[in-house]
Amino acid sequence: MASVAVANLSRHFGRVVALDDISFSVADGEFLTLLGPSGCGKSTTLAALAGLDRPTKGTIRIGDRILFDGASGVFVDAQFRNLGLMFQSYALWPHMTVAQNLDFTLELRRIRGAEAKRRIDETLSLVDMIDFADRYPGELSGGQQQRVALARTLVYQPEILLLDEPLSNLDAKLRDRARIWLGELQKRTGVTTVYVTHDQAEALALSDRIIVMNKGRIAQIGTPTEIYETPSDVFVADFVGASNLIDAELALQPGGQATARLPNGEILRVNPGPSGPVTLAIRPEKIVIGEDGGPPDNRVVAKVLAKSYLGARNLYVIGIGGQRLRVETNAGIDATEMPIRLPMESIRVYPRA
Amino acid sequence: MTGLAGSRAADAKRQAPVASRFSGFAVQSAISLVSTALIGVALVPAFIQAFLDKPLYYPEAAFTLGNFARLFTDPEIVRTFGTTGLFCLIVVSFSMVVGTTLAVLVGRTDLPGRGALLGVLLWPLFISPQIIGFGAILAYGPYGLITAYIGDAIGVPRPWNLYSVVGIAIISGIAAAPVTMLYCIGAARQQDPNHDAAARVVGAGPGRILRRINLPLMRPALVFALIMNIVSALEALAIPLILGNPVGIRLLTTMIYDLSFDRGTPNYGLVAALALMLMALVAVLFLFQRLVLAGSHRFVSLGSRAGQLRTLPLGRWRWPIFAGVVVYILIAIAALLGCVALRAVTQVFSPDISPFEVLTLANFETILSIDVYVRSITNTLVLAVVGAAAGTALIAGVALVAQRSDYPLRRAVDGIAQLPRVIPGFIVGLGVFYASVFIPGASVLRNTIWLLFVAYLIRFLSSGYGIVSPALLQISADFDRAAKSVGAGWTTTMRRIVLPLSKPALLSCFILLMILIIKEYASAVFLMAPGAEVMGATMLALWLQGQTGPVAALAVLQVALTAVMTVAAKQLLGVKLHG
Repeated sequence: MASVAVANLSRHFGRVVALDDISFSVADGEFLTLLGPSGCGKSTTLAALAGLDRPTKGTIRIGDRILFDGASGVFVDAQFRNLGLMFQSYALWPHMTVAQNLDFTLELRRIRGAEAKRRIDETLSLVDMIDFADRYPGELSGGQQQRVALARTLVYQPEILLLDEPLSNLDAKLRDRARIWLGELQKRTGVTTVYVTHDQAEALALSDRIIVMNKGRIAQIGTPTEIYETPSDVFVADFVGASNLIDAELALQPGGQATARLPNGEILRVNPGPSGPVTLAIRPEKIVIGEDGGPPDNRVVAKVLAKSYLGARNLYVIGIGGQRLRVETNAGIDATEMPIRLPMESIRVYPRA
Repeated sequence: MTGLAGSRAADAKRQAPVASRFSGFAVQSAISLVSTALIGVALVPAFIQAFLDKPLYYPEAAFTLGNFARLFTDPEIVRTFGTTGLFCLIVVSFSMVVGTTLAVLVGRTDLPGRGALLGVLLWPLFISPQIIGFGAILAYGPYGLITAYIGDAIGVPRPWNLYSVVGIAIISGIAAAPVTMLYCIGAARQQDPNHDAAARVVGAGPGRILRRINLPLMRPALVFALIMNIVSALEALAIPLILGNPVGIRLLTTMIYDLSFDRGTPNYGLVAALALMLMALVAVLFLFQRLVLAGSHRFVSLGSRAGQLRTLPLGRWRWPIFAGVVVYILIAIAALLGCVALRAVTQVFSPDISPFEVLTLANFETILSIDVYVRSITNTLVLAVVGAAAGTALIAGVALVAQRSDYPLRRAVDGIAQLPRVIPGFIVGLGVFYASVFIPGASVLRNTIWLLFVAYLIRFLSSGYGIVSPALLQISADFDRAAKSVGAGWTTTMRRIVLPLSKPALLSCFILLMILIIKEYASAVFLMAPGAEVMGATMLALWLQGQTGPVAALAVLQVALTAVMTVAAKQLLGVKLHG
């Protein structure tokens, strides 16, 4: 097991810059998630870590080994990195049984006989697939294939585990269960894990730390709480937790307070920020509906524009100041207008270019 | 997990083998070298010969452009260009119209018995064109069985002339139509049923769907079939040779054949120049195809394949059209093969004598007792098995390097594998023959079947590659990456993961090569020598000598061999050779 250090990593495809000078590290035993929309560079980063793709510049170290150094031309191929990589498609070799899939990786390491058998049994037990050792991948369900794929990457005890959207091929219900299972398994094995996903729920639930990526750059690095509660920019605020974004004009008031003026003239009290054009971000579940006994600021009457019933909650689209906001609440409201409050502490202010 | 954690330190030392950036580089280089050398053998000597004034094994041979100059000045050659053009036009039109029509009828409509009809209509694919040529003469020639019957019935002796450019072209078109069918039927069937459904929902009738949705979506297949038809028309040798030569109708190919055999001293320079020009023509066609088909994603069916493709109802035309197809089969396939079969079991073959009065097995006894015939059969069988095995191995190697490696020259290897498609078969034979003269030491292979073996490897590289390469594309590259990530090198990954997964395609490739080698004649005509006879070339040579009985028996044997192999492949191995 080992730590990972990535420094100034760039990847250019012709004139397209897929990765632009990113640096981060992963501590020994840590669960780190690369989160972002498609095309943000998260998979490129993973491929660079795995050694399947050669970056343009930068360095990659795992433990005390230098696996890539653009300046000195060092590039260790995937074959020799001793990492575990789990594919979105699982990539279980269909002509080999479950046990043979695992055994092939041991054979390459000259681990044969009783030792190989013990490791295979142990790992398959770990993922609860010991009863399926002699099945072919085609005979397994998606969830079972996912477990075998993980077992295949664990059986040879790689230094680092790399997971490329491992849950995206499962249906919603199975995905929730697999997510919990995967988190527990990582804690038990303690293997350093780099996880790639575009699903913020997975990232928040599993990770020790999250790296949010956007257009080949790192937008924010932080714990799930930091990422969710204090997104560093509009992109993160919007991508993680889908904040409502409101255009406004910020004015600093005497006494260190700040107000934001919406296009229709409505004034909201907000946390201080740079004066001038700003984007306000507030999460749908932070908007308070009705009278809650809170402070008198930032109360408006909003038009209910649309409603959709999500089962556990209701989602309303409301209009204030000519802008549409999403509100999530347990309450069921039939009126066409409702009083709402935008709590000052829940509004994040970002300068608008 | 304490057990796993404990042995981890030990594992770090026991990592996958010594690092090398070019895993499998040596193997990849060897495969690339062999394939390049083979293509070089076929092309380089012919290329040099085209610019020499004497055969290239003459020490005093000098550089000249005279061969090319003669191509455009010799009135006989220039006349041949015109004839070849007319011939190609008719062959291609016939094949395209008949092939596409049949493909749509069999592939998309509710034609009765379309499964069985398809099988029969594709037969000519597996039959050597020279057998179709023999059949045409026996059935529709001036003294042909059917010519006589029809002539008697309508009171006009010899109502048509088979020995004309049109006659030769139509027979060649019959041989070519299944190729068109094959390309188009795949495209017709692979269309997303939702295209049809969407058109139906917006109110389009069956005819309109066919015209506005199905046919336009088949455009890439149609263009590809068109090019392949032109290529095969340009390189057609057997039918024009059998039908045209006796009456002096010459095409480019038969002229090359004559120049290298008939005249006292073969004019190899002129032959090579003609051959190069033919190849250049073919290459231009393929370039054209690439241009036309750029942006073919417009024709790729998007989305799921859910739902059955609804067949287009023919309505009251259903049975009349069925009758039409059956008549075509009778005229274009059954009559030809039937006459060859009849000829094989009769002593004499004439409209004036009922074939049933002269039934005999003598022709078969002849081919099984005379050395030359027996040798040509055993040689063919040996070459079919050994050639197909070696060819499949070579093709698998080439496809893996081209499709599944980081080899720096993999694009070039892919190109090389496609190249034989543009080299007419007899030019391959000619090239290998030149090479055997030119390369020191290669002469030991002369007069043995191993020269043919080399020619077949070159000749069918593209055909097999055409099966294996798309099949490899179907195998997710994630399998390779997964193997790489767990520490497998290229060679190990190919041997343990990719090759086992492509077994069905490799089997299909093997069977296809066997069939192609059994029916091959074009590359063999220049390489045949006493002791190194093969069925295809023997038949052609003996037919030209007038020994039609034994030739027909050999033809029947060849068709039977192919049929047995095709059926066995389908039944035992589940191999699909088309569709």
